[in-house]
Amino acid sequence: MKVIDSYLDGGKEIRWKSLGSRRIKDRVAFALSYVVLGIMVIVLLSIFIYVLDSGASHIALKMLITTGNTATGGVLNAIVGTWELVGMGLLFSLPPSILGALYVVNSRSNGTVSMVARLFTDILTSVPSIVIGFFAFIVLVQRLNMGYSLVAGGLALAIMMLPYLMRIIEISFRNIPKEQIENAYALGADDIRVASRIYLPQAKVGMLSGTLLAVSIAAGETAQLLYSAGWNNGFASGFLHSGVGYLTYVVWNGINYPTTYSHYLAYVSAMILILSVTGLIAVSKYIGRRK
Amino acid sequence: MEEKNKVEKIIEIGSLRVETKSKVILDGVDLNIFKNNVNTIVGPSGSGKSTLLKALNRLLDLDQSMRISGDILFEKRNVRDIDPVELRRQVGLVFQKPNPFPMSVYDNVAFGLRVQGVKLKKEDMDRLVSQALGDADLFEELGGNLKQMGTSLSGGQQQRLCIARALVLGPKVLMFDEPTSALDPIAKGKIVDLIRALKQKFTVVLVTHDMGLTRKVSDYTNLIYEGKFIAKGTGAEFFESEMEEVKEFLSEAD
Repeated sequence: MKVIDSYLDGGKEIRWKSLGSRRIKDRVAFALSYVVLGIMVIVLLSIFIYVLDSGASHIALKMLITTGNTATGGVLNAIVGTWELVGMGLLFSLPPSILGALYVVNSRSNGTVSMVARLFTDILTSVPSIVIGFFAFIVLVQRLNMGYSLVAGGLALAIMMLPYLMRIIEISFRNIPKEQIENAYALGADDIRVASRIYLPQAKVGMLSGTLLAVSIAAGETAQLLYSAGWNNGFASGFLHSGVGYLTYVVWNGINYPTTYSHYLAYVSAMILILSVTGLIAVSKYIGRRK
Repeated sequence: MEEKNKVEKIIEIGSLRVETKSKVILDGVDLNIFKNNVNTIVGPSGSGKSTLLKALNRLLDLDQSMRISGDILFEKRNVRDIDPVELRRQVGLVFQKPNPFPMSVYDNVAFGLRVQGVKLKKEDMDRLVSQALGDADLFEELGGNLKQMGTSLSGGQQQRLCIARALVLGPKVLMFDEPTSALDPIAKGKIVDLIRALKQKFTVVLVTHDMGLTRKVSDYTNLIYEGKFIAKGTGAEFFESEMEEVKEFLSEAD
């Protein structure tokens, strides 16, 4: 047979590509990816350095320990408000994400329901935040009469966090070997026991790093909060009908405000945001790697 | 060995058919599992052996694409009428690949009892766990260190841990799905001895395509081929069968 012959004579009939040209292609591809990487790092670093430098050179203790609007005083209300909103968002999004992911990975679930759930979460990730904000304003703030508030803002953030969380949690569930799940059922575990003793303990690292990622994304959101959390020069006085301050608002509004001090406040807020988000991502990476 | 026709049947399978939308996996299986014997099911890969085991303890319920018809009677009761948790406690399954949970040896063995909500005093739990590990011929080897991770054991030890994990529930039937295929010859030898010892207390169902293993331990051997049962017989009968399929399978398997 011809094919076999060509193997047997040392592949003489095959036209091998010269090693030289392969090496050149290899080098070019590598060089290109380094260039692209370099551009990304430069852009990222310049934002980072600019924000840190502008923030650090204008920071004053007063800004961190007092409350106020975006022209005078400090941003303590915005720092506290940001974490209150994010915490509220997590409270509304984490439990349904876990339950949703458990439903989707369970082999006995209704396939159509799982598919629709996945479709909706995919769509939800691509809805612009301003649309979520507008929805929150009409439905939560006005119709349900929550007013600008912690709950409305938290729900608006939760709408955005839910698809991320659910996807990441689903992925960490799917990383658990299928045989282990089957084995747990074979030993007489029911769905709830399999969830509490296999899925949740084994996926906790993935769940934690996913949560930190979702938190850091949420902490940097502005648009949906403008319409749902409003603003507050002081601390929110309750869960409903009381606006909340948040750092991204100070950045957005402070820059537009025609005083130097408000610009400084904006820089400082941006710095605090970037530092905390970077810190959170670093922690989530560290936890993820330790696994 | 006592006379075959007096041996009690613990599981009776009648016209069992399992199919997915695209293919028939088991096609009209009739088979009896005899109490306190090693019942072996042999056959080439993809012939539906593992599916059969999963049908026996209703693990197939987990896969919605499977359509099951026919009857499986466990102690004269249709398995459909038995709560799956209870059924799986009485009909244990040891998988092909050893897969301990990422927890301590102790917690691995205690898992089944705990998930079934069994409340035990610490010393009773300790005793059951030690006994199961002893019955699985693992207790002494571990030197009493039950706190080490199940996943840190060797492959053969992991498989015996999985056996202990199934034993602790006190099953009436213990099913093994190619328990030795992932193990080296020494680890395999231990499992062979263990299966022989276990049939004193339990009914063993063994799925394998290892004819050496079958010769060593099997009391009743059944050949399954393309989802159908072709031949069955006691240990010696089977190997001397004149049926073409059996001869062909034996010559290829050896």
